[in-house]
Amino acid sequence: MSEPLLSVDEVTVEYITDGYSVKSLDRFSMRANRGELVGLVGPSGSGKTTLLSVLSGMVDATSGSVTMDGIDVCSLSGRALEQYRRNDIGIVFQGFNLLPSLNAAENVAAPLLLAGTPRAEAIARAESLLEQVGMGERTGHRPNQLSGGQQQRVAVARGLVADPTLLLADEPTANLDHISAEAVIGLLRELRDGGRTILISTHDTRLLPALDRVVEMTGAVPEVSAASEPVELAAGEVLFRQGDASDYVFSIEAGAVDVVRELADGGEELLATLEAPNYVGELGPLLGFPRSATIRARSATTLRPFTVTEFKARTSPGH
Amino acid sequence: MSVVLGLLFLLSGLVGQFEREPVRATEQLGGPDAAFLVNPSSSGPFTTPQALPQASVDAVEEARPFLIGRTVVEGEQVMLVGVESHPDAPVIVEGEAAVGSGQIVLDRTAGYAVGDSIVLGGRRATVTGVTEEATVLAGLPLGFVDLAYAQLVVLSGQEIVTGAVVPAGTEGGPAAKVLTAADVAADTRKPLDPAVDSIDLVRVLLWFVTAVVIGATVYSTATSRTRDFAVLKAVGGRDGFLAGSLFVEAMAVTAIACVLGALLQFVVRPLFPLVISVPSAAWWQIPLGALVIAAVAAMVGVRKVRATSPAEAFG
Repeated sequence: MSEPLLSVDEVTVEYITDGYSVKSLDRFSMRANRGELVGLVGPSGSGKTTLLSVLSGMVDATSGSVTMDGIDVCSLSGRALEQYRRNDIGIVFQGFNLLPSLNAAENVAAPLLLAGTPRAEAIARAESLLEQVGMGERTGHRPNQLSGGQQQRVAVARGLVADPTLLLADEPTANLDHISAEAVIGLLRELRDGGRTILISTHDTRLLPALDRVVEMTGAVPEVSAASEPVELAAGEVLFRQGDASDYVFSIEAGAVDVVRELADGGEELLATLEAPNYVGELGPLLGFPRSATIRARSATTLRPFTVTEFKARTSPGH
Repeated sequence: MSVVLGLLFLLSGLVGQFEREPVRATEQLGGPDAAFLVNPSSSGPFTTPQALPQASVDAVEEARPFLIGRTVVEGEQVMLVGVESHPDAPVIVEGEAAVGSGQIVLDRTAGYAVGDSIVLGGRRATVTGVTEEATVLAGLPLGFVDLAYAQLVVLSGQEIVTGAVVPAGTEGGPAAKVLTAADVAADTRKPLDPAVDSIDLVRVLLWFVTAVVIGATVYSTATSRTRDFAVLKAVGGRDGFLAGSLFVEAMAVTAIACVLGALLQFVVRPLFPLVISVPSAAWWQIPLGALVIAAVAAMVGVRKVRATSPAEAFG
């Protein structure tokens, strides 16, 4: 089997906000082969856009590695990073992000013009791409004269202008009606058929059947019951840490736990102390978010894990 | 931006006119290199005209006696100057000098043309010539007539003079003092000092307004396009290129605003009752000041560009 075009290995992106650290990606891995249309699927906050930012060299990974067509993306800097961004990656942004003062052809040609390509040559290339995406009749229109779907086509053409190896598209159908969304997806599939590798982030389920492969960005929440295996913790032992992937909801059957927030300066903030009987850690699995706090046993504690389905059943009215 | 710069040109023109007017009026009275013999208790011939003994005039060779006094032309005040005509003063741009009774040379701002018949101090007279820039005290037109005719109009024929144009370097006697042209110009401007100082203060305040308007325009232009800069960086635009473009744009916009402001003041100028005389220095000082302000504001914008992460393009 041939080497994948894109390899993302154990990538973690951690940043500090409001005094505590947040992992928007936690040891995330994936592969994309040449000529594949891959979808990154997950809810808002699951790290899709962060991953696209890392792949395009705009955000540094805290740890892990990214290899794209043999290029170690995480090691790039300065001119090499500019070259990578300019030549190897094409980006289609959410909300089009076309420059309002430029017409369609100039928007598409902008990356080439910034790279020093002569204007006539850049515009000719842009017009050719606009023709390819079905916008040949509107090369002189400004963004405010184009519909959402048309603007997205122009944005796709801009992403392709440097003939990149990998095209990244961030929520390409967001804010589009179904007709425009279908046209954009059709265009992306045509590009895939031409051998282009395309990675799109989306939470639009309409897209899923059109994708070659779907990468779930939400940590898999276990559905296998673990109700028969209680967890015993000694005082000071940690049940899970802030930033860990969420799995079970825990019922405190005996003892007490501290809910603490780990701060960026290494300190901790005690948010609450929960005593039996009570539940802890329910929102992370319910929402598909990582753990937002660390749970540490205050005394010898017994907790019983439940899947989300079990938890819902236990807490539903009438139970 | 153009409007405030236009106002700045206009205010500079007003102040410039107040500086220029007494100098030009003094030249119109005595020519380019004259001195003036006046009564020792007079501060200047235009502001405090007082009788000068004829003996003081006679004591100086080449003295040209004059009488200056206010009168009325068709209900409007005019500063009447009765003086022996001279090739250098006043400078007549249309028509010819006033000779004898019933003739007058008036400044153009009085609104009369050569050949017009007017009522001067209750007597019929004809405009024989027109001068330009012959006004005092913020636009009061000068009217040049024969000395004897002025004595007739202003003093009912009394042979009194209030001064004499004398060659520069002339010594004053016991009953007369000599003022240089600069002395006369400064004295003529003195009644306007409070007005000039007030306009100057407004001009300084307007510079602050100009700074705020230019600064806000340039800075908001940069900050409102943070997303655009992020997109351009994301597609390979270099910091230096984008920052340079922003800087050049700020300079170009400000330069264009200066040109429009200058054109605007030409359009508005006729609406002013006073002559607007923009000093030549203002033509480069105002644009230079505006460009310096724009450069400072652009530097702040440039820092914003540099601080913009391309990842912001992802929204």
